[in-house]
Amino acid sequence: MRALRAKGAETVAEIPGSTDRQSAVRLLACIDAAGSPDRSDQWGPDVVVALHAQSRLQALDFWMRNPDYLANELLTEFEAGGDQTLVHLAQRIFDDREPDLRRLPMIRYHFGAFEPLDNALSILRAADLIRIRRQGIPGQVREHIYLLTAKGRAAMVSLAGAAPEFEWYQARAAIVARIAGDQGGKALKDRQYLQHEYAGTELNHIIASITDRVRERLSAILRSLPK
Amino acid sequence: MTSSWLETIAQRVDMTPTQAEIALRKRGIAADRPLRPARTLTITSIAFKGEKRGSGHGTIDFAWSDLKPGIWAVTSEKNLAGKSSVLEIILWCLRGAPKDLQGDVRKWLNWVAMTFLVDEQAYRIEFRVAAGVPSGSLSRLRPVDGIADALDQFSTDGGFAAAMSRFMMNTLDLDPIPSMQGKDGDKQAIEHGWTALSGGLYFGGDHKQLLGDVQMGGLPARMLQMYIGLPWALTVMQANTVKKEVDQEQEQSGKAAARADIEATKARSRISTDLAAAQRALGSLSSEQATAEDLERLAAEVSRLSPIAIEQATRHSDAETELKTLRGIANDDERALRDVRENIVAHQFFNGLEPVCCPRCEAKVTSERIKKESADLSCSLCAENIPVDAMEGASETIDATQRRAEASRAAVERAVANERSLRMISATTSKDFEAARKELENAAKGTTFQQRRDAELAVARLEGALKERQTEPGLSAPSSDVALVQAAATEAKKAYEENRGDIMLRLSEEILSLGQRLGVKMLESVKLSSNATLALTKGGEDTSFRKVTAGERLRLRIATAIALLRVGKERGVGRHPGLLIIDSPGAEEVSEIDLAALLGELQKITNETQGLQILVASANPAAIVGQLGTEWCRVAEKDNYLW
Repeated sequence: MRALRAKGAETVAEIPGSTDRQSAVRLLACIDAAGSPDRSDQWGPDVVVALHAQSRLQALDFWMRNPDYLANELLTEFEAGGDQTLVHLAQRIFDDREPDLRRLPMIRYHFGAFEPLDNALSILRAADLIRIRRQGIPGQVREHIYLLTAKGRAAMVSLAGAAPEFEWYQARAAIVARIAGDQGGKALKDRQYLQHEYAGTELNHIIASITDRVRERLSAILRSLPK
Repeated sequence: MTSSWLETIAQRVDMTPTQAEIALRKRGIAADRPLRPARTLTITSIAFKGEKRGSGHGTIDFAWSDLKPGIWAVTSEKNLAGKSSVLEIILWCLRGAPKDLQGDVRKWLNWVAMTFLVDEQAYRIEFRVAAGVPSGSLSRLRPVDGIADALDQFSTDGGFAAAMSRFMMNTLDLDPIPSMQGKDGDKQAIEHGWTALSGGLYFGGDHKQLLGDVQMGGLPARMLQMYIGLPWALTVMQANTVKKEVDQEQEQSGKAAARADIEATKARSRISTDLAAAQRALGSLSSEQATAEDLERLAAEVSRLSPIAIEQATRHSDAETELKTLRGIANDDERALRDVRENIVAHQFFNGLEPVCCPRCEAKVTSERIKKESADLSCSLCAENIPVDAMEGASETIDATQRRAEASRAAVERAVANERSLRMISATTSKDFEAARKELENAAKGTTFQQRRDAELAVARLEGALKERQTEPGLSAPSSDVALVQAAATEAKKAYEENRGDIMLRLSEEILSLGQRLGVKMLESVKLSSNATLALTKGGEDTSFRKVTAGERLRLRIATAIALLRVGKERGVGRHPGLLIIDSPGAEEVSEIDLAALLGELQKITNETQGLQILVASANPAAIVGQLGTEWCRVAEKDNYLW
């Protein structure tokens, strides 16, 4: 745990955070689960998948860190497609008290939830688990492209095998990737903005929890499901 | 009879005889008078003066004196010579009121005087007439010197009539005949006095009735009974009349009572409806009724439970807060435990990886640097010293964190149980308090004492009104006189039946005898009833007074009057004064021979009947004077007037 002081805010209570190493594992899981296979050999023979844009990575990470918002997306997805496993996944999130135990609040900035990823990505980069390509000219970078190396993929596999806690990151990243689909960072952020708690959060304030509302939504859906 | 009429009545109505007598007298009912002989009325003189006006003008100065018992006649050759007027003026004196005196004759008169005897006592009526109105006196004449002592004076028609009525009724021992007159249900008790009774002395007109000339139901019968002097007859009349009066009073009050009863029934029905409504209203109040003690008790209960409920709610709230805090702590501890585990694993994993390049500049890490890191524990990327014992104590950290997490989870479990138990206690106490508060609120909102009192008063008032109208109004206290009068009538009738004896039979015999003598042809039997009807057998045929000729009726009337007198004398009873005034008997005659025979026989009868005086007015002076003798007659010869 560490203190997180939001810029502009008077004081912020001690809120849950994570170490750079934990963040490194989380981001590695996201890139591993949501990256696209590199078929053109554009990035070198040992690059397995590529994940475009920092904003997409941030959006994926938002769902990793906010189980209540993710559960809400799962219910929305269920209502659109009727896949009941999505409801059970949402139910599992609440049964495991994830909103209490795993929520890592983020601060809202002009462009949405954002947290500097550099330290965590550095850990991954130093061991060559990932590579980062910047498009554009220095000072005016248009896009970051995160490349997962075969070594990175193997690292994720061995991390998941080393402890059940890390296995959770792998599994959760798979769910987040499914929810995100092919949508880019801008589209995902717009989806997240649909929650009025998110959109209504003042700048530089912690984005509020929607746990209670989603729990009620889940209950209503569960009641409507055939036994 | 072992007890008297009065005693019997008194016993019947539970009174003393004196009380009964007073009560009966108030109603005008008296016991029969002791029997005594009838008085005899004899005209001794009649005189009048005046001034005739019109065609036969002249001075009137008529005087006829020294009259005595016997048959006397005024007669003239022609009609309208003043015969009837002489009789009418005598009647005027006797009655105090003229009967059929012609208006012009009355106005011509200016002085009238008549003397008469009642038994041996002499009386004199003398009055002046001004414009037909009498003004004078009735006097008693002293037996020795004939000095007049005025008994009564009068100056109007009414006064004269009243004076003569009073005098004659008393002197002749007559009683007013009570009667009820008017339509059914609204009859008035009236009395027939001297004016009616004097009809028993007068025989004129068409002789429709056996006695008198007043056509009124029951009057001839009562006059007959009066003049016969039948014992208890008068009392029966009085009692019957009063009984009718009382019965009518009862009937009227009964009708009024019936009307009142209908009204009362309506009122009862209305009040009963109102009462039922009021009772329902009261009934609905009583279930919610709260006494002051109830309110006090409920208020005390509320104030007792209130702090308990608040305390329990506070305790529960505290437990909730504690639980929430503990949950937060437990969450933090669990999270911390995971963080510790993750960080240790990640630390070991990432540190175990050989650095490949600088994440900042992408420069390759040289093998020299890697060797140096192994040898000198200096970082192959930044050349900083790598802490050797970085991972030492990791398992202790995990254990401590885990113990803390377990402890805080156990604390949460205890707090959950505690919160649950306090929640239930708080819910119970708060429910009790709410129930008590609600009860108090209902009691306070419910019937006030005043509302209930008002409802009770409304019921009581209606019950009272109903009870008041419950008494049977039909039985309005009957006049105590009803029983008294009833008893008087019954007993009088009984006495009358017991005492009348054979007097009617004797009268019938006498009428038969006199009728035959007076020339009622082929009269074979007569039966006089007490109701003044006369059943006859004539020539073998049954007939009656009403069916025979006017001349025969005249003879039967005269026979009846004389029979009353003669049987009365014989029995020492009766009240007929023995004066008969017969106007124009010849009008009914078919021949002068019949009239003469009638008068001749009447003369014989008067001679053999003590105290009988007959005054006759008739035409045909020759026959009359021839029959009666000159000294018994006043005659107007040829075209002359009698006066």
